[in-house]
Amino acid sequence: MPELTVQPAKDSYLSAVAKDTNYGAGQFALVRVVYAGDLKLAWERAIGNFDVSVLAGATIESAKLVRHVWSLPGGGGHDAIISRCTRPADWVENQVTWNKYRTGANWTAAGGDFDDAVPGAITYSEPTSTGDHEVPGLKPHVEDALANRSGIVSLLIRLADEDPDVDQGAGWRTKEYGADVWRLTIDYTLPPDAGRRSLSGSRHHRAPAVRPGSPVRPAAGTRPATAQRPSVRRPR
Amino acid sequence: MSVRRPTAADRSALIERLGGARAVDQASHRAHVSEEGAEQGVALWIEPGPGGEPYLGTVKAAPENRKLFYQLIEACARDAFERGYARASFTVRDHRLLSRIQRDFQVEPQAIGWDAGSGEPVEWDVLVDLEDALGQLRRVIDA
Repeated sequence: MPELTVQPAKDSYLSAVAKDTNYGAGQFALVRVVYAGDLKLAWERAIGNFDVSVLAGATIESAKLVRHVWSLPGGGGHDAIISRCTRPADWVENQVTWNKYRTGANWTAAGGDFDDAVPGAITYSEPTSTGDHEVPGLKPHVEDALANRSGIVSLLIRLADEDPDVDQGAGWRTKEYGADVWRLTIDYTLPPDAGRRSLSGSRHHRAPAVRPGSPVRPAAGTRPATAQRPSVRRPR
Repeated sequence: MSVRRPTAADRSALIERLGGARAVDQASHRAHVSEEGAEQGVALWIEPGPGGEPYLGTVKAAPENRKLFYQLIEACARDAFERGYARASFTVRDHRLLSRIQRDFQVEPQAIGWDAGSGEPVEWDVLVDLEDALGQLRRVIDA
């Protein structure tokens, strides 16, 4: 069965302790709460858009979110929720914050607008060790995106309990990291009448090759350019 | 003035200074207090879960007592080092504080957050080699 891997077209995280700070050029996404006494040192939600429009007309068999988890404050094992962000086209990667989806435009609800009903939110357990972690069950999100959202799967991820009283969280690699980028992996079939149609003829671009030894962090004070086009690995 | 690990007798003052019991009761949160007690100064570092690195959570001391401020950080760094960690990090969200740190220490802050309007960096992650940091801290404290 053909499989399509789609890296995020844009990704970032939102911080409730720095509500007007943008993290769009960062190399990691975070969903966590870390305490120091009553103060939350960190409280973050992750956001990302995945363009699956190349699959228009295909039958989606399954879809999963794959993240390379590099850090688990509190040890992992806690629950988190994947919801559909309701402003997929509006939020701007190098402007989005906890308060605003772009400069001058507030989210309806601080922390990002999302819908847990259509498609239904996915609750999953974070792993207890680092490495690739898969969250299955995103087929409805892909189908919904193709049917109703111009092919954009926009995800907002948060802790199931954002007042857990103990540190909880996970961090994973974004597209800016350049390797082990989080991604949607979709199994699909094409309709019998698709003829010679091939996804390789799509407008999408192959994922950039990873350069060994590429810097893990951007140079101090710089804001790396962020690509706006999705990186799509063609079906195997 | 010196710094020590808190005892049971420090619990109330520690909770009051940090604003809640969470930081005291979580095994991964390791506090250090001034010899005179948490009222004078307290620092907290967080032992990471899988994949992470020790993180300096908070340092509270009178602003005019810079020596105690750095002694508290030194105690956290030494504690982390003795528990087997080679590196640690902390976050700075104040440009003036960052400038002061850069005056006193050789560090390489990395911008990780930006002002959404101007694009200017407003948040930095400072990753340090603990052995090197301990040496730098000792020189500043002794100066």
